[in-house]
Amino acid sequence: MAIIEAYNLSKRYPNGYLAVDNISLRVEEGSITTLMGPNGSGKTTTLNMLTGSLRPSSGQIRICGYDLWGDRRQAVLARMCLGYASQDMPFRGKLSALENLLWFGLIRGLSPGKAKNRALEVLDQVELSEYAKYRVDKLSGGQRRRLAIAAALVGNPRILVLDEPTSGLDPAARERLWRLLRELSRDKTILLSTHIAEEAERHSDYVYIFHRGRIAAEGSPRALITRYARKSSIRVKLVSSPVKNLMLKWKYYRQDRELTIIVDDPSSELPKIVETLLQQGLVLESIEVIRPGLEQVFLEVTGELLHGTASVSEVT
Amino acid sequence: MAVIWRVLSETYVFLRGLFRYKEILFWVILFPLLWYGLMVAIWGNPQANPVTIGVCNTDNPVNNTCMGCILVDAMNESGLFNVKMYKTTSDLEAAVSKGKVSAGLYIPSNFTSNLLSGFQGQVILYTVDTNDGRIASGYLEGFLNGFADQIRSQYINTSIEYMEEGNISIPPEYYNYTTKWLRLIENPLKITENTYTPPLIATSAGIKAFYAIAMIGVESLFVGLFTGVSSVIERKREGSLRVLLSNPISGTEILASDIISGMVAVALASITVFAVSLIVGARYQGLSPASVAVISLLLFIGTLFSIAVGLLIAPLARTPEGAGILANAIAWPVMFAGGLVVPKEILPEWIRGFADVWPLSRLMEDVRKILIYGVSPGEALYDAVPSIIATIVVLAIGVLTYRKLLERAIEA
Ligand SMILES: Nc1ncnc2c1ncn2[C@@H]1O[C@H](COP(=O)(O)OP(=O)(O)OP(=O)(O)O)[C@@H](O)[C@H]1O
Ligand SMILES: [Mg+2]
Repeated sequence: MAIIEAYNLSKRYPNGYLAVDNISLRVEEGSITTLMGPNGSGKTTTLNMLTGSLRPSSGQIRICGYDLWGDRRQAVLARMCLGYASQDMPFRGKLSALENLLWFGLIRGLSPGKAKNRALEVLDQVELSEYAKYRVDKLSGGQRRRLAIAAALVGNPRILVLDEPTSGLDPAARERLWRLLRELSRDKTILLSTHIAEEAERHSDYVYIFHRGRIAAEGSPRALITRYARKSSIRVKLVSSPVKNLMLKWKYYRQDRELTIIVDDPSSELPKIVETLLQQGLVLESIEVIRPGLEQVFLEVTGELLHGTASVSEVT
Repeated sequence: MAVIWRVLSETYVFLRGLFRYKEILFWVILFPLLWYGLMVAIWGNPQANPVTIGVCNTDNPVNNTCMGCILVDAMNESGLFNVKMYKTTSDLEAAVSKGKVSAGLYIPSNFTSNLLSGFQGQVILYTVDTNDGRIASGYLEGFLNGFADQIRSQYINTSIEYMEEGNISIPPEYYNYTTKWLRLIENPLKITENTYTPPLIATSAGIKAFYAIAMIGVESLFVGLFTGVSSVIERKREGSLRVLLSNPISGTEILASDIISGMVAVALASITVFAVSLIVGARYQGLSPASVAVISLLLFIGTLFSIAVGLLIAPLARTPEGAGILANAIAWPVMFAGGLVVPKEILPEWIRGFADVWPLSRLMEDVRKILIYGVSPGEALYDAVPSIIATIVVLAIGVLTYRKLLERAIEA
């Protein structure tokens, strides 16, 4: 059953910018669903609309079966069903972790007593119990992220919505956060956003690939990879930008000094590629073999690199 | 039930943060106390200050008697004057003309010898035609007249003694008249003084009460305006608006949570100022459960009015900083022109009209009526009806404006 359903969702900001362009999505209960896309692709805009904090320009959203932007009763029931940890939670830095959670509990409508019990419970869940009395501005980035998740959990919602829960964290902290999310996903639906393909691929049940306000592709990571990125690729970084067009017999994408070359069998084709490039007088800085993954998928479906800024020219 | 906890959420963070966020502590506690201290220090003492008089006394004693010295000593002891002595008349003149003293008195060298030998004693006054100068010379002349009265008394007593001893011969048929008239000349007017205790407002204790109420009004003005003007914009900046909107709390409840925490801030400030005022000696009339209830209500309405004004002007601000400037731009003029910190009576006529219609000013005036002028709470409440109605109207428009602003915030 879909616990989140959105149809024909669009958002045109008052300044005229169309940030989300007619997307539809469904989140299955109990899944970890990821919105993956580069900066500015409309992930936050979408999550804000899906959590009831940004009014869509058009479209329909149902959360736990209730119309999120409908009448007051439905709007309240829909919001009761979800907990949102935005990209930067507005914690009061000089209040303790526990006090901040108590505040969120009150906002949720819990009595002070219940809010406190609940706050202690969720602090335990996110492994912050020993930091309950710490001022929030004394917490590390990773601890703050876990506290944000705790805040979203206070109201005991069925759905957790997390905007970029791992951004800015080092690999160890990221790993720890993912362990927590997996744990939580046992009895909650988790919808999150990320711009890290590897994360989306490893941890999510279903992925929506965002590109310029649209959904470029969707599916389980496995399905997306088999469909769009069965092949590996070889990424070559050149010392300087090539002046003339390259003569390659492989399909490749180029961005500045970086070439992404799609190959069937990396081990046999790598020497040939190097040879060809050297013949054309190019100096190589680094070479990397990239296994099939969502990053490839993104490249295939959008024609752009997930982390690129400049546009990519495709030559076959 | 849940609604109650939701609308109290803001108060919870406010109270928790009160002593941890210096800026909150400043605005709620220190700011009103600072102003209160300042106002009481400047205006708190209604007793007239002694006037400063310059004196040049060149009187020569005769047989160890120095009438000029007696005069100067009496001036010092009266407490009315702050006497500064000068050696020469030119020093004295310079002091008067430079405004170092408010008036000058020159006692020539023959003052005593003249008085003792039956001639007029002469003094010269130096006066300046300013308010201060007139008051000073008035005091001085009054004092000199008193001194003259005593000299006259002495001469008359001596004369009558001489008559009684027959040293001065008066025909018997005139004797009674003469002594009677001399007594009349000595004291032509019998003045009976009835002294009343001054009304509370004219005493130091009353003035301290006046400024305590003033500061409570100022706090209500500032907290109210800031609350109203920044409710949406501040939340938008810090990101809590997003989080609130994704929770089951309605726009009205968000506003209510702000109003309540604003009210708590004003209540805290009021209690602090009130307590401090009692410590420094303010005195209030008519304190009773009923009057405290009415005063709390008046203060509540007054704060509500300020919040409503804040809500009304909030759409003009695009940033929290702009909102702050806007609130200040209204609060400071209202603070003075609204008769909150300046007694209405000393405002120019055309400004007083404003204080007469601005609901917060009127409500604070009603509070003063109860606590300083002893008006009954019921009467004050009746007086407040127009302000209450005005507040309801402005608040209704304010809430509509707020809803529009919130709607705009949800759009982007
Ligand atoms: N309030 C706004 N008014 C106008 N445009 C906006 C507003 N908020 C976001 N945008 C624009 O909408 C586009 C999508 O932004 P959004 O924040 O949804 O992207 P994102 O995918 O979350 O990016 P990131 O990974 O950087 O968080 C951006 O181009 C952004 O500049
Ligand atoms: Mg974002």
